Amino acid sequence: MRDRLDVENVLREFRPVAPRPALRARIASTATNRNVTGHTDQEGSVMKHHMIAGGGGTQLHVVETGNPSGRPILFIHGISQCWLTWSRQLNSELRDRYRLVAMDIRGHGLSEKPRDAYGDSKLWADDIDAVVHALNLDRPVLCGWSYGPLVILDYVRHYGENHLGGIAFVDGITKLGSEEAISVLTPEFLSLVPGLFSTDVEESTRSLGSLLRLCVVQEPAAEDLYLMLGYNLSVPPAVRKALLSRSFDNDDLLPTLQKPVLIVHGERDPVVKSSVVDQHKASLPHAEVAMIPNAAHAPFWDDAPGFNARLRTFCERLELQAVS
Amino acid sequence: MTERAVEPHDIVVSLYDRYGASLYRYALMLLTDHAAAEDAVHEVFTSILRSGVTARLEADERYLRRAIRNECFSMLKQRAKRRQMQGDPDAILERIASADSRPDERLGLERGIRLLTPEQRETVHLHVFEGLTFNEIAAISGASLNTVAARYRYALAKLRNLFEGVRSGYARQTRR
Repeated sequence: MRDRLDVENVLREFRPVAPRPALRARIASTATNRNVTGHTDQEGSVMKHHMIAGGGGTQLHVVETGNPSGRPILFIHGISQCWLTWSRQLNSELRDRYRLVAMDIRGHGLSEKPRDAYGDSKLWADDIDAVVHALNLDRPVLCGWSYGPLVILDYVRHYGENHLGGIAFVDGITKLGSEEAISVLTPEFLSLVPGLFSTDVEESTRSLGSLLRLCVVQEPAAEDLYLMLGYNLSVPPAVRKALLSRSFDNDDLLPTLQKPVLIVHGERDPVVKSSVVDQHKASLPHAEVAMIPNAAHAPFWDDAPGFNARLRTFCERLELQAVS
Repeated sequence: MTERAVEPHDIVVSLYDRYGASLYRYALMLLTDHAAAEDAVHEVFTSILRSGVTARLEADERYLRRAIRNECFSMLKQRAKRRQMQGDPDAILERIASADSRPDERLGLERGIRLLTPEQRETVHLHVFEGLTFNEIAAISGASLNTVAARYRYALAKLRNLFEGVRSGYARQTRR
């Protein structure tokens, strides 16, 4: 009895550690950004928002919805965008069957924007690894748009592909910083690059507006366009510059990929030329290719039902392969 | 003078200021992991915002405690499927105020606490750190009074065994 009291008394000299002030800031920030949650709630889906420590401790904002026991699909957006890019997937019938997760990559959306942490491939890889493990994503399909495949391949380079179910490249690029890398980008896009790096608000807004118009075949509704422009402008020009200043390729890595790969490309993409599909297919003979007619750089927006059907078929095939 | 309507943002921040530290400590004792405890508290406050029931929650500590408990046990289920954490865990206890501070005590207690079951940790936390009676703990955890008392007894026995081992090791070191 005396010993028991001893332990109790020792315990009473302690207390659990108090929360960091950052937690209050995080909750206050979520409360302030309540409209983001409200936007998706209006569509009738429940969105869970997470903050996850990625590479170097950078806080990453990640959203998930859909069927918690379904195969996870992790969506990775392109340069200057955010998770809202995928709203036509997150609010689609895909959510009945799959666990849909969309992250704001470092420097974008509600994720932290460190000054100088964009040039190291390992940091990008750590970001994906952190999301996969923090949310316990079991053999996810990584679906990357435009710049997204570069991030996916950063992950595969450092962590391998064992934890993945499959990979989807959407109008994606896999190299940067060389003549060969530039050769798959259109002159229309390249002409916008100086404006994307500009700190002049008018020039930056003009260039981002033009980039958004290159992404879609039809002019978006004003409400959509201003939402897109808003989250594009929330990305500091220095972040866009840092992302596009990386110089590397994945020519050594692509032929080693064993997991199923889906390559989706808008037939009318005015940003990334369709010749990139041939290049990728040459390195990935087992990849499925889906050219989406009447779609520009963002086929998941221009033809969301068509894109979602392709993605669903790809995922169903993964299930069949797993069973067999 | 115009009165400003109370925004959900203000209610949530005020709720956090009132109960956040206590809820966090509860989550930390259940999960024994700072990042996970932060996620649990964040998730509960986010769900309050989503549900839009902030107004009636203003003084409902019981609701918040139950929500934290549900979230933590759900996370513990998920964690069982995940890979093990690597590296030394961060401290989960701090000394309140005492000049007679021995470094082995905190480590010994923490090691013991991590070895308890979540239900035992919960009972120790609510009884020792929050000052709740076994009856009140039974109401929170949905267990019988006997079960709660047994959890507490077993938890203390486990802690005592570990703690005595650490103390005798420390005594040997200081005699040298």
